[in-house]
Amino acid sequence: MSDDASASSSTLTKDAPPILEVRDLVKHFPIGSGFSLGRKAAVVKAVDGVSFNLAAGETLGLVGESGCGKSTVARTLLRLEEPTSGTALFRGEDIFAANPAALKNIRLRLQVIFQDPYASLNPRMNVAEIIAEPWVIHPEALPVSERAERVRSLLESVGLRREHAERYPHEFSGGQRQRIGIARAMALEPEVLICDEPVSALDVSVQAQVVNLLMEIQERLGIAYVFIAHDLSVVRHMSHRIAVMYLGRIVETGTEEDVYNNPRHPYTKALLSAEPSLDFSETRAKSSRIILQGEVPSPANPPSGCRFRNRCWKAQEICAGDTPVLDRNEGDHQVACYAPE
Amino acid sequence: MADHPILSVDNLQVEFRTGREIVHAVNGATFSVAPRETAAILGESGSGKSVTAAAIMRLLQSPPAFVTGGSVRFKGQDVLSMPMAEWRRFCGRDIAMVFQDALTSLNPVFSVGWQIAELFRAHGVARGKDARDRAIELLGRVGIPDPALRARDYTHQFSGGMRQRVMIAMAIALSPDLLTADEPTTALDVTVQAQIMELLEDLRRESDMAMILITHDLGVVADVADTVWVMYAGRVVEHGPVSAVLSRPAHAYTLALLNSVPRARDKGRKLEPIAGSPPDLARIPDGCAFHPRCRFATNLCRVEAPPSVAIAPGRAAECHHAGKVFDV
Amino acid sequence: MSTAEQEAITIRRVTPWWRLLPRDKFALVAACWMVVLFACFLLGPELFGKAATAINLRARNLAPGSLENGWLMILGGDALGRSILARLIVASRNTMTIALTAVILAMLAGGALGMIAGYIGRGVGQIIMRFADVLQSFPSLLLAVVVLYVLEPSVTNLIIVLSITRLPIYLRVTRAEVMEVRERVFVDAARALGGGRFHILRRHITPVVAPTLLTILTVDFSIVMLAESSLSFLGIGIQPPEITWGLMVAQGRNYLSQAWWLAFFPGLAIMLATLSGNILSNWLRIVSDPEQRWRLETVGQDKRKPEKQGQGAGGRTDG
Repeated sequence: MSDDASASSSTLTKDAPPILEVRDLVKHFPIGSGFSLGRKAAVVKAVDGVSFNLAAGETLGLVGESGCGKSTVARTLLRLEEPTSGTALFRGEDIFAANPAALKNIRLRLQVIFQDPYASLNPRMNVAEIIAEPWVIHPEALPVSERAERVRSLLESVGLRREHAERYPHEFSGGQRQRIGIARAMALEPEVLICDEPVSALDVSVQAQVVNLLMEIQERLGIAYVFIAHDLSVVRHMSHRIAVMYLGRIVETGTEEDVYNNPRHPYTKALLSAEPSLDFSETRAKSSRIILQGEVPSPANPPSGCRFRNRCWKAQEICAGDTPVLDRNEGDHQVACYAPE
Repeated sequence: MADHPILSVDNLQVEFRTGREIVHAVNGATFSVAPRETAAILGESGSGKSVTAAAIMRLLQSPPAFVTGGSVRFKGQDVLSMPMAEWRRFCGRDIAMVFQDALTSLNPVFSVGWQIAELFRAHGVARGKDARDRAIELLGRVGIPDPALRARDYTHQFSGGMRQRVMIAMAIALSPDLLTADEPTTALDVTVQAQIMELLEDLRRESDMAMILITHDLGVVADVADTVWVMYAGRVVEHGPVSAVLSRPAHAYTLALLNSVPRARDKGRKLEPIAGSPPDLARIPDGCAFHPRCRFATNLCRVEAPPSVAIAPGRAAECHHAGKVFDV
Repeated sequence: MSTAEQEAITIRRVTPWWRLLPRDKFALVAACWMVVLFACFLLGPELFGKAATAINLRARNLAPGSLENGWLMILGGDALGRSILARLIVASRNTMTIALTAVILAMLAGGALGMIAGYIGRGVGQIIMRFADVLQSFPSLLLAVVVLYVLEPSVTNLIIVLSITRLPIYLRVTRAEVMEVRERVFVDAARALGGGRFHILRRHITPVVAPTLLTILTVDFSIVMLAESSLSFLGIGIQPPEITWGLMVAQGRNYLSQAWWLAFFPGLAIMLATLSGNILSNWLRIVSDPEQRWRLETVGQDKRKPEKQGQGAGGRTDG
């Protein structure tokens, strides 16, 4: 899993056992106070039955609009939130059932980069302290005597300078801070990196730097990414496989080519068509653009059956009945829809 | 486009004086907007695009902001030297603004219908029930379902996209000739962004309005704008018709920006990012402000600010190597 | 990485804190005053113990400002003709022992309880907060009186009682700050790295909370001193011949109309100690915050050439 990690992963997924296997992940947040005796408290169904596999060395892109639950998936996988139900096997070990000691061990190999490069670094710690924090938590990972040198080599590997170790986060730009966050995540040499909107807060010209850095790290170390973003073009560039989320469920999943070139779920089609395009060669074909009506409904009160049906131009009676599920018989490109394209 | 621009900004300079340093947010921005066109001001953070808009609308708090030079002419009148009372009469009636964050731009303690009706009352256009009816009609026009009912609601009862529609309704209430939209869809989801951009475009066409669209999103610019003004470090570095500029840029920055966006055909390849970070506006590099990040930079770029080079009618770029960039 | 990225940050050494102190004149004076007070605390009773108790009836309520009766009488004499200056110096030890220990104890206990209430769990947190409510709803003086009647009125008990009455403030402030900081993304990042509660409290939360608590401590110092003098007045605090500044104020109050200096100078001593403590804690807060440090580092330097990258105060203006 080194050089050919960026190659098409459809073979990877089938042959090797997945490094991360998420089954029926559910996360409901209770709303309001817990004082409503007798009545069942209302919940926000942020994630409502999400399953996916992640093969070693591949990138799974998780896309969707705000409120679709993609960040909640990340937070539950990291156990920053406790899931309501479901399992997540990391190398065969259930993250959700792990006791504190086992969880600490899993976190050695499962790391994260956050969206906001300003908030995710403690402003009172200098860069060396930030990057060395993983080893303070896991002292067995690296002897104290080697830490200072390792901090500096990590800084160089993410495109900063050794001297930057003495500086504080506020002295860096957004892109540079995100590099520091990446260096911190790489300090433990994880096998899976969850990237929660890692470039969304950055300027366009700087986004590409971070995207390149992440891809280069993957090539070099064979790390698998769960890449969460709402920017479709960045996800497309990074990912081998894509999962499209809508209101807490995955509505379509497949290889990057399948999903982008041949979208089958109406929501995927609409999402792709709504993305402003830079290509003038297609003479701004606005007529073919699908503009959805309305907005994403509240996850506290989603429509029955297919959650997309109240915005879908193909909705039929059947859509209001049972919730459509991903069809496992269809191979790699699966879609949860009664009338797929 | 028309000969007489509805708005022309000439060599505008704005600085922020903090106790610690002077931030040169706008350094001689020059641009103009023709009647009925959509002009996009494209820039990243630190480009001065939002400060420029705020200066045009005279929304800057002084101190710390000071307009230190240049002029803004709206329909031939000098905006910056106009008494504030006179300018307020322009605002809303002739020129209006839509902000990025509708939640903080609308008043939370009055119903949206009342807020719109109040606009009519304040400008003496309509009163009482008439004002209310017109408010409801306007809410319907921006695509809010059940406008008569929703007019009684407060801002927190609207979703993000609907809130943005309310703000657009307020902005177009008095049929201005120029609408300034500062990142109107940045806070919205892609599918809702498409709705709002379509609405703005429809309204602009129906009411012969001109629009300034301030954004960092190249895709949005390509989609809706007629002309584009690319800003970097407080200056307009390139301008011209959108399709011409974006398909064959003449400024090294525009070219680099376009190259850094991932496209379908780049799949699997490395992107070409722009090195470094956007400039620190308190310490703008000498010569061409872009030179430390530019792959075309020569010694000339380090010492001498580039002149404006005409590329085609209505098109120019401030780049020493405009010809070379254009031919890439 | 490209040259541009590298140029963006120039090499700069962090100025050590002891070189920053002279840059802030107020903080420097406050620190000097603290050193003087500490010297009084250490040596005062040994050097001036005799002078402080020597009664000179001819110098009763002697006005300050004259050297005729020796330099010790520069601040005047008290109702029994004892040197106020000597008494102030001697009293500093009792004052500091009681007031300072009490507020430090209150800060440590309140801070610890506040961290538990804010971070460990809702159940424990609720119990702790109700406990704080009870403490606060009780008039603190009444509480002290009751406890000291039950217990022996000794110095130790006095310190304990005073610290208990001040504890809720620290508790509430700590809890509020902890609840705010724990939601920050960098705390999530530390949790995701596998950091336990203790690690996060120590490395991420304490550095934010501590400067705030220190500031409260300096203000509390004077409150506690006056509370202690009230207890002395009621006969359950420090009793003469032992003296504290608070007690001196209380005793001097009876003579306010004839001899204002009896209460004024001990009051001034309390005020100056509090003020310099406050200035120092404020200075410490700035020094310990990397984003604020430049305020001290740039003092007295060429303003057009700040050394640092400006991302902080006004570096970015465009959204």
